[in-house]
Amino acid sequence: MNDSDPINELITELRPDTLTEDAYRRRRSADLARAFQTPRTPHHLRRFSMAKRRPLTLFAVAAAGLAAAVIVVPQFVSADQTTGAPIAARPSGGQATPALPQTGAAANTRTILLAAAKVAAEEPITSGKFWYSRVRTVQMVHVAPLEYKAKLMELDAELKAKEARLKDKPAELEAARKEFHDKVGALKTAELPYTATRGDTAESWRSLKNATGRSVRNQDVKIEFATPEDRAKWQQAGSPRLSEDDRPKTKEGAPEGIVSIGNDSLTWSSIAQLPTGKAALKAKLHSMYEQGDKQTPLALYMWQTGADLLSAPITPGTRAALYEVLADSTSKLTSQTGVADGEGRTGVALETTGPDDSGAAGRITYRLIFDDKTAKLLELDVIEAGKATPLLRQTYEAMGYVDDLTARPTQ
Amino acid sequence: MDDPEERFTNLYDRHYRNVLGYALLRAEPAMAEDLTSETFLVAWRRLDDLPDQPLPWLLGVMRNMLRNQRVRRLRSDELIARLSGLSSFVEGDVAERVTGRQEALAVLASLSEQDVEAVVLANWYGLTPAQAAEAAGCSPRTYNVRLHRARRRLADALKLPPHFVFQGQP
Repeated sequence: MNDSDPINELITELRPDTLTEDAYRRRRSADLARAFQTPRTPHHLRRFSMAKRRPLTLFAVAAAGLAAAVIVVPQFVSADQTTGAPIAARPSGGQATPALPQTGAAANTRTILLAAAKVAAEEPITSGKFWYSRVRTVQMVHVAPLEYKAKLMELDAELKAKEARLKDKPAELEAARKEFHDKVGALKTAELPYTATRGDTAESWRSLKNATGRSVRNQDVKIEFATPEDRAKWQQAGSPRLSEDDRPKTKEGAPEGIVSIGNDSLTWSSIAQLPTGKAALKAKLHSMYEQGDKQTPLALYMWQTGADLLSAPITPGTRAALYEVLADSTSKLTSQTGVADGEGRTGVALETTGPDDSGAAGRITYRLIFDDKTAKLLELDVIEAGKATPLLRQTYEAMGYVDDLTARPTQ
Repeated sequence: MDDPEERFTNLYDRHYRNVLGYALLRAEPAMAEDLTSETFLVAWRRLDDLPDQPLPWLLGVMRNMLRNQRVRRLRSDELIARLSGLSSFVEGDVAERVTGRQEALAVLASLSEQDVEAVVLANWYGLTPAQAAEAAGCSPRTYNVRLHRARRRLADALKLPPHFVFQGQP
């Protein structure tokens, strides 16, 4: 390729570097952690497993179209693979161990979930032209994007210069490359001297019958500091911009996004037809699990798929059945009542823990908050031990059916 | 470098942006990111089987993934509109280039999506025709046809002499 070729120049300009760099920075640690906690397929099993299972099935919990939700998944997958450790009982409960699941805490969680099932069963069946949802996502800021990019470009330029100078000295060239990777690694793992979060709101209207709809992402972008001291430290650091793009993005047409990664058979149009009885729903979930790659332990798969379903247009009957199914897998879950979400609404938190990026067990808490009065999903959180600010907080501010693309459900 | 974690980290650091960039030709950013994560998870599981030049392999995994998720191919005008929106254009300081660029974008938008893909694979990733064909899931011959067709039409739009167009092409 010739650099001075205008066609090449044009095509090169079209490369979405900003976007890919941003995603790389956001996703790297979770992606690596997830991979490292996933068993590699041994050679002798490979042919069999590749032939048997559908290729490339996904097993993440991804709230549709919400990239951040995927962060929730990886550590989940490994929660009991790597630790096998009991999930700590809440102060209100007794000592829970995996061997003895039906101790105080687990039994309590089961009772709460069964009560939620009852509430859900009594909710009226609703319908409408579009399924609406409004989700507020608040994520911890890990880098000041412009500064980060500038440093990265600087390192890159430095390496390119060295590569040109050392092109006939393989050993030194290799050393220069290693140095570059080390420096980039250090840049990526460096923590900001302050704690800040970036929040934005996404709304979507999705027809469950055809490809119409609308989505408006990146609304109400807001940077917040954990404490006034954090703000002061940010100012000392030169008040760098912490959000690159603050403009809302509207897209007409069906919002992209799948109901549940790893569950190909769940589609937006078929999800309302899921079984409404516990046994039938359990059988359906088990069969979907069997069709998948089964890398996730069943109990965790149930939790992940449950979180996906709770944020989707399932019927009250399916919702009730789902809580009953979850009630059967409480050995992996703890619950806490009276937990507030990002909107200040209180509900029941259903939690489990997993290791952090370094593999240290139990450092990350995954939490689903539901409203015990309506059995509806309020929030999904990812919380790191010892940090007051959650790494990720997704608040389901509103969900429901509406009849046109400007309407929002009345709460 | 026998440590699998180190090998994988290098693979990820080197190719993440490329794989995501390719996914963005088809999927919305959120889904493209999810599928890129999945692509690398597949690479982790099969780390010992990766070819020496892993990028075409990774792009091929992504292509299958997009197909499995039934992500529809965009019409090329949609694709170009998306790319124009996603990329952070640094406007050239030479005024006449802007006009040429608009024309070329219009031509690019009139090509088939596969022809656009052919140009992009060659340009963004510097893949050889054989590698690009592997990633695109077609024969090298078909790929070359697509690439040349696309470049000739672009050259016409930019009023370039043909020899200039093919300069540097293997």
